[in-house]
Amino acid sequence: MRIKDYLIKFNSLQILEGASSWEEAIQIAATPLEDSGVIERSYTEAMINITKEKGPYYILGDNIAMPHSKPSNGAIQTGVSLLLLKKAVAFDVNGFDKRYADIIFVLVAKEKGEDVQNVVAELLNIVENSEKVKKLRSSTKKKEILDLFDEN
Amino acid sequence: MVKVLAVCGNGMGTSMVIKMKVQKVFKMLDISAQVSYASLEQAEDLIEDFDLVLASAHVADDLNFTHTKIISLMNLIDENELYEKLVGALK
Repeated sequence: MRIKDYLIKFNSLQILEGASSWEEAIQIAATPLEDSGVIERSYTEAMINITKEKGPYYILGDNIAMPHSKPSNGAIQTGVSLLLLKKAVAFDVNGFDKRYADIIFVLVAKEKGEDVQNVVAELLNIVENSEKVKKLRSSTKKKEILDLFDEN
Repeated sequence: MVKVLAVCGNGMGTSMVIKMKVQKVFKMLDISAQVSYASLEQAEDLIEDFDLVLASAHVADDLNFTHTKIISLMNLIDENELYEKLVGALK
């Protein structure tokens, strides 16, 4: 399944003005996945905890975050969510350099396998394409955003 | 053939990103490489078989192996950092 399919299936694409904290941002991004039976609450907690422990290591350069945890921490099925924030949220975790993110992809793998590899490959393609990233940041309509994931 | 292992905390996600970037850079360098990815725990059993281990900075400190070169990456998608560190390690 491609990213667009997951976003539609789990109703997990959200576009918001901002978030009041990085924890809130992760929770917001994870909520549609919790509601759709992709993850248990424990997975969201695991993502928040690892961030507190190791910093937001999953921020891939240009303010794009890919928080995720181990399948055993509450992954029920493979899935993805995307939270786009008009205003980037600060990931200022104690003891780590302050980072920002306005594009947050929550990644869930049920097990190590092709599905997830394809999703990550697709994600990297988007992230490395500055035109697409620009559109992710400027679009306000869900349909436009979903269409961005089409041509790959 | 250079055998490379990409490591992160979870064994998927970050290590997969590293694997994909590394494959790209090796292609640019025209070097044939076999890249695997694993979690920190899985890596501990495997490390002896690899020429090179790449880890995101947040786990690199937890890896202590003496006979394999370990490259720690700050920025996971910066190909320049990766390129320089790989070239440096392969000398």
